[in-house]
Amino acid sequence: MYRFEVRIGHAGFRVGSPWRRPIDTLRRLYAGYPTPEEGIATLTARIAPPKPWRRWLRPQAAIAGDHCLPDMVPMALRHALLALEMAMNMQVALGERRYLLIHAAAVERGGKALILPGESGSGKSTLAALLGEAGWRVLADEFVLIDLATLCVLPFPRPISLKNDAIAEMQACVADESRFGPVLTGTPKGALRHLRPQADAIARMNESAMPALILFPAFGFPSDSAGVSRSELFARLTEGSTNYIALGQRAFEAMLRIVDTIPAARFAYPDSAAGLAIVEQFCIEIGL
Amino acid sequence: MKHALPLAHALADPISALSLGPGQWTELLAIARAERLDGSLAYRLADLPIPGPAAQALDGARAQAEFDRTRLLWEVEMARRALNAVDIAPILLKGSAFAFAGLPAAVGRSAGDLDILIAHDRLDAAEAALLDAGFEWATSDSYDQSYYRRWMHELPPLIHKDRGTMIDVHHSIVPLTARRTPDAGALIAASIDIAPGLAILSPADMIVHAACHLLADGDLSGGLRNLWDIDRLLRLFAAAPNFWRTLSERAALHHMREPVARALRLAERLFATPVELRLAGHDRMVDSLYSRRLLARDGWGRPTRPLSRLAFYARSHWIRMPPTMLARHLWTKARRKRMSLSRY
Amino acid sequence: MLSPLFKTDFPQLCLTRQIDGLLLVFHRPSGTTHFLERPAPEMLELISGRPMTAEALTDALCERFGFGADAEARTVIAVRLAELVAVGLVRRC
Repeated sequence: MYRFEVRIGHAGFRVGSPWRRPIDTLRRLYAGYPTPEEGIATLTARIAPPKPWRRWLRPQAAIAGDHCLPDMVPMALRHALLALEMAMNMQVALGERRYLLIHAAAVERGGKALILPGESGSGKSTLAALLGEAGWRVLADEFVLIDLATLCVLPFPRPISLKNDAIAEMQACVADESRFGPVLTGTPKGALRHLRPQADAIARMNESAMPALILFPAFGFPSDSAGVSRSELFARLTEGSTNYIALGQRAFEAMLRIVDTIPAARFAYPDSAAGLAIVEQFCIEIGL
Repeated sequence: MKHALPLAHALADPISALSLGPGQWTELLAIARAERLDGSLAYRLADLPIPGPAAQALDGARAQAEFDRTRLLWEVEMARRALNAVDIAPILLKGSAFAFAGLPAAVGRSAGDLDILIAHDRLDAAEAALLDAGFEWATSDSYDQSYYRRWMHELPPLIHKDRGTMIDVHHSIVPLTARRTPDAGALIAASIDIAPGLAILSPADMIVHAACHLLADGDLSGGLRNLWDIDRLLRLFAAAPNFWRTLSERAALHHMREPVARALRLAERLFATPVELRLAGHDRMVDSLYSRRLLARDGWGRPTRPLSRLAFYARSHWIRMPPTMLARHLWTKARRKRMSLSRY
Repeated sequence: MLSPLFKTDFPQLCLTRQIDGLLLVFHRPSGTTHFLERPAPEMLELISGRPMTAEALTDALCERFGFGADAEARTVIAVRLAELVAVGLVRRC
């Protein structure tokens, strides 16, 4: 088994693959990331052929690891990098029991965090990537981790997953080609390319930030915005959390404090420029 | 790591974990999670000065175990409400019994489904009450339904339509078609009322059931956890006077002498459980095969020893069904699997 | 046959908070978070005082809100009651 160990935020991973190339590619993508704390990786993610002969014959990579969902469809080996990323995600999505996990992107400026919740297609990852090139520090593009006691956002600055049109968009504003992973075409979500966050975001991956604003983006509509009521915020954040229920009473109490203290709104935007402009406007209004 | 012995050691002798190196901690966690013993491990290591990252990972396992326990106790309560309404007081089995009774075996245990035992003549009433309370059949396949009803020791599994949780309603603890069948009436007669409308098996019967479940009722996958349950139960129950004599009598009554003896020997071998030697009997050569099967997990959490797995799988079915029935059953299963694959 | 009585432990074993006219409830025994809207919170309040039949509950509720206790009201209350029983906030005895 070829292996690679890496730390992202508070999580130390051991990643395994019987094929060598995907691990080499992963290692290049994670250049500059630290190794696990005290050398102890506590999350194991791996890919494996679903049947022994699938290692060589029309090879396929199934997702596996400490935490797993049954019945996941294996991927063609050429998408192994995506399978590895999903295997790593699965360990966090299914296994995180210390911090509240919200499906969201987050960026930091001046010590304060902006949280952008949303599922795939909402545009949150692209917005986070763009903000990361415009003076903000990327904290996360997929998993926002919130401390239950302090409500601080803990960074999980993994390489950002760019899809389809977003790839060209980011290639246009990121000069350093080495920050990009390989282009993967024909994945279930179309074309995919990973973008490593800026060195600063990686170096400061242990620096948390207090959330100051929550904005729900919706890409592909005329510019518009509206407030989000506290009850709606509670519902939407908990729906987008993989571990709210498992964390029990403390999560309920933390979520009440979040909706009581952090302003929230939603906005629609037709393109990135408009989206970034709306974000800036909100930030000015609340002094972020 | 090539097998799960380090996990057994860490559980039996927590101090031994202090000598683990960084890579070994990663492997131990992978194995513990694969065996669903990470919660139990977390509690065993709770007060020891283990490295920070490992401690944090085990904190997470403890949090999960607490959530599982809450959920399981709630399932017990909802099943109780449904069944008490038709005057059935279910006997809790396995994890739900441990959790409800606050037994050490419950500490850190990750939840399985809710297993209950009721009298055979109340099955229809129980089925109706549970369906009324929002449970649905997990399988609508008529072959599976008939298989379960006629030959297994339980109703087909039920899943709650809103909560998504599963309940297994048993009327015996080993299938009717097995060569040896425990005395369900005796289990029920000796059961202990633990709360209004709820009961658990007597301590000796609990051990008989656990041994059954480990050895006579399965292919040993997930067996290490069942064996750990037995270790925890025995250490508690052995403190009672005459426990070993009672266990011997109950094992004989239920025609389970051999599985109980084997379970005691395996617990002693892997967890250094104090057992009564006359009841446990001499070590058998085949005990090593069982032991290796229980420990068949590598440092990546993958099951190992495929040949022994096959042998145990076939063996477990042989125990449950006479050979001609077994052949017919496996044939039907294989045909159905081929049909369902062809849909993709 | 007697009409069944409905009872509840609410608000014991729960954390509650009013937000935007909804009642958020964390039910500790089940670990479930509920969003309750009218008339569920009022139903729980009435039953927690004393166990009631569905008819008595409907009468009390309608009086509280100033509706007539007609067939539609009984149907709505019956459905809400079944929901509360299904999630375990109310018990039927």
